[in-house]
Amino acid sequence: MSALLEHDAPSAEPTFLVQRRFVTVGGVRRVVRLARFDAGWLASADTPEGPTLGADHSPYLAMRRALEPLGVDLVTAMGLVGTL
Amino acid sequence: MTTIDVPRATSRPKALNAIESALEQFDRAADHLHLSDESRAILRVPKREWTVNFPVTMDDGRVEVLTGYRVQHNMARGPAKGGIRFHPATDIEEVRALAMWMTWKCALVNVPFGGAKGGVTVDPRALSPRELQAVTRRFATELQGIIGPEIDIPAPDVGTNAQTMAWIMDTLSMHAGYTVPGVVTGKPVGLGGSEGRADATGMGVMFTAERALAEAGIDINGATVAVQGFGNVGEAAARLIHERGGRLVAITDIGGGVANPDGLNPAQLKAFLKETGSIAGAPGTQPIDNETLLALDVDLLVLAALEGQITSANAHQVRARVIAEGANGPVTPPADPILADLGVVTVPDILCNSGGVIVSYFEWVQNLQSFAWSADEVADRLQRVIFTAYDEVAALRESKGIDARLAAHAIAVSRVAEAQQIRGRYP
Repeated sequence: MSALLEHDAPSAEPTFLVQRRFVTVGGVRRVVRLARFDAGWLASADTPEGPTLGADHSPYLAMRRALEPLGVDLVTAMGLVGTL
Repeated sequence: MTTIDVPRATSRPKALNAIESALEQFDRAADHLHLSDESRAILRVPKREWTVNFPVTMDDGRVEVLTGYRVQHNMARGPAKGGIRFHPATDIEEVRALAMWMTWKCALVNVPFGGAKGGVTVDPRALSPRELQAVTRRFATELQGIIGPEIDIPAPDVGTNAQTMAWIMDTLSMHAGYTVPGVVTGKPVGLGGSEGRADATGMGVMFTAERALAEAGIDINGATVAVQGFGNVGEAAARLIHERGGRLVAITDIGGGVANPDGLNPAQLKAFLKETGSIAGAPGTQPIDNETLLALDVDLLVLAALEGQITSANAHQVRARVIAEGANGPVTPPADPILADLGVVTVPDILCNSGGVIVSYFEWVQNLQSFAWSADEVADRLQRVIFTAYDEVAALRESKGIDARLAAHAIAVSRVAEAQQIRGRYP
C-alpha cells in the first residue's frame, strides 16, 4: 500500500533518464546505472557495501569511476555506456 | 557538400595538415567521450615545448646555426616518449602533432608514458659522419635537463638511427659523469638496446594484421599480401608475414615496384635493394606502380610508406579485405567511410605501428633493471601487449558500433583524461 502511495505521489524531484546495465564480476551479476544531469553524468553500481559512485562530464569516465572499485577495466566500462 | 581531400604533401604545408589532422582525430574522440571543456583545453595543447638554435662547425670551417625542437605533449601517465627526427622539412607544428600522436599511442597500448617528439631541421644525407655526430651531440646538450630516463626518453625516427641514440646517450652520460642507458631507446644492442627493437614496428604490423585477417575469416598462411614501402617497417612486416605463410604478390618502394602472383621472396629483394638502391627490376618480377598496388585484389594491404596514400579520390578502387597502417596517417579521414562502406577492415595507425614504442618501453624497463631479455621474450611480450590493445579496440568498436580508428582514439584519450583528472590540479 505504501509503495503504491509513493508511486502515485506527485514529486518535485527532478526526473533523470536512467540507463540500467548489468555487469558480471567474479561470477556475480551487478546492476549499473547511468544518468545524465545538467552538469554531466552520474554512474553507480550495487555492491554489498552499498552503491559506488562515479561523476564526470564524460559518461564513459563516470562509468569507469563507478566500476573501478569492482575491478572492471576501462574498455569494459566504456562498452556499458549505451546510446547517448 | 562533398568533402574532397588531396594528398597532404602536395596540397598545403604538411605541418599544417599534420596538426589539423591530429586535432581533428582528438576532437572526434573528445566529442564521442563527451569530454569536459577543461580536459579538452588541457589535452589540445602541448605541456611544454622548446625551440633551440645552436651553432655547428662544418667540415669546411663554416659555422651553421641549426634549429631543433622538443615538444612534450602530455606527461600525466608517465615520462614523455617519442622520437627525434632529422629532416629538412621538420618544424615546430609537425613536431607538435607528432608529440600528440605519441601521447595517444602510448595510452592505447597502455605503456606508462606520455607523448613527446623532437627534431632538427637538417638534411642528414648532406652531412658527413663527423658533422652528423657534431649536430647530434650539440642538440643532445641543448636538451640536457629536458630529457632523461624519468622525464622524457627519445628514440630514433626519420633520419636518425641506433648510432644517433648512442651519441645522445654518450653525450648525456659524459655530462652526468656516469652511464645513463635509460635516457634513450633504440640503442645498439651492445649498448643496452633491446633485442627485437629493429623489427619491432614491423612485427607489430604483422601481429595486428594477422588478428584483423582472422576477424575477416582469413588465415595469414596463404593470404595474398601487397606491401607499400620497403624501409625498416615495410621490409620487416613483409619478411615476418612471409615467414607466417603470407604470399607477397606486390611490393613498392621509393624507386618503383615489383610483382609476382606466385609470390616474392623478401630476402632476395632486400639483397637486391642493398646492391642497387631499389627493389625495382629485381630478377623474376614484373614492374608495378603504386596506384596499381593500392587497387590490387588482395587479402591484406600493408601501407608502410607515406601519409595520405589512400584518399577520397582513390579509396573506392581499393579491393583489399584488410588494410594495415604501418605508416602514420596513410589513409585520410574522408577516405575512412568509403573504405568502411566497401567492407574493408582497417587497422588504425596508432595501433598497427605501435610495436616500436612497445619495445622501446621494454628497452627502458630492461635498462632500469640492468637486465636483458631474449629476442623470444621480447616477441612474446610484444604479442601480448599488442593483442590486448587490438582486442580492446575491437571490443569497443563492436559494443559502440564505431570504426576502429575512433575506438582506438577514444580508449587512448579516455586513459589520458582519466589520469589527468585523478592527479588533480597543482597547486
